[in-house]
Amino acid sequence: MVITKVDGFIFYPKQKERIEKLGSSDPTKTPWTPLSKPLLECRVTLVSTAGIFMKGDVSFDYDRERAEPSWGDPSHREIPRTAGQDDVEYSHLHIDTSFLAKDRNVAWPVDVFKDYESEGKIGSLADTLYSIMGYIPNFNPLIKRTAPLMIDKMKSEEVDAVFIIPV
Amino acid sequence: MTEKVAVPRAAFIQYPFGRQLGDVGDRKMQRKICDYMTDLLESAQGPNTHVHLPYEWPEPPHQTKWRPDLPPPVLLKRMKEEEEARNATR
Repeated sequence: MVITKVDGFIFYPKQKERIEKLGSSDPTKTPWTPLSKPLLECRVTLVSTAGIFMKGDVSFDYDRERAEPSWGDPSHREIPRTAGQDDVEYSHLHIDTSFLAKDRNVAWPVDVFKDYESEGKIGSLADTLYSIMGYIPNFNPLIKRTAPLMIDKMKSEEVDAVFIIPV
Repeated sequence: MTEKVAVPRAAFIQYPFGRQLGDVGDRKMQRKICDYMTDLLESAQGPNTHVHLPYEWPEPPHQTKWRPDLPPPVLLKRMKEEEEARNATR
C-alpha cells in the first residue's frame, strides 16, 4: 500500500489521545532559513535522538530517569565522524536499540551520508556528529543549554545544514 | 508530535521507532529515505514544508518490534499506579 499521509500513531496507538491533547506551536512563527547554496556545496551534520555516545564517554543519566521517571537527560554527546559502528553505544530506555547496534543506518545514517560525500551529492559530512536522548519531558535545559552548545560547535565547523533523525 | 512543534522542514515516514530509515542491512531503502530528506532540504520553499513518504512497513504494526524488553521507567510507574488504583477499588 502506498502511504499518502503518515499515521504517526500506528505503532503506538495509546499515545494518540495524550499527544492530541497537547498544545501546538504557532506555525506562523516557525523559524526559517533558506538553503543558501546547493547541497553539493554544503557541509552537513547529523543529530540523533537515540542516546548515542562514544564508548568510554559518560552515558546519558538513566539512573536518574529510573529514579525520577518524569525526568529525561537533556544533555548531548559529540561523536566524531570517524567513529565506527561498534565504537559507540546506542542507548535509550524507550526504544529497542538492538537494530541500531547491528546497523546504525537504520536510524543514524552515517554511512549513507559518507556515500553522499564521496559521490559529491553533499559537500561534506562534518567532523562532529551529535546525539541527544529523545525522552526529555522538560525541554527547557535542552533549549537553553544543550542546543546553544551544539550550535556553537556546528558554527565552528562551518556546518550549513543539520539533519535531525528522531527515533 | 512533529506537526505540533512546527519545524521548518519535516519528512514523515510510517516506519517503527528505531528503524525510521529502514531495516537492518537494507541500505537501498535507507538511502531512498535519506534521498527524500536531502531533496526536501533543497526543494522546500518556506517553513512548515512536510513530505509524507509513501512506504509502508512490511510487518503488521502489532507484530513489529520496537519496544525495549523492559518498559521505560515512566511506563512502569504508570502501570504500577494503575494496578494500585485497581487494587484500591476491590
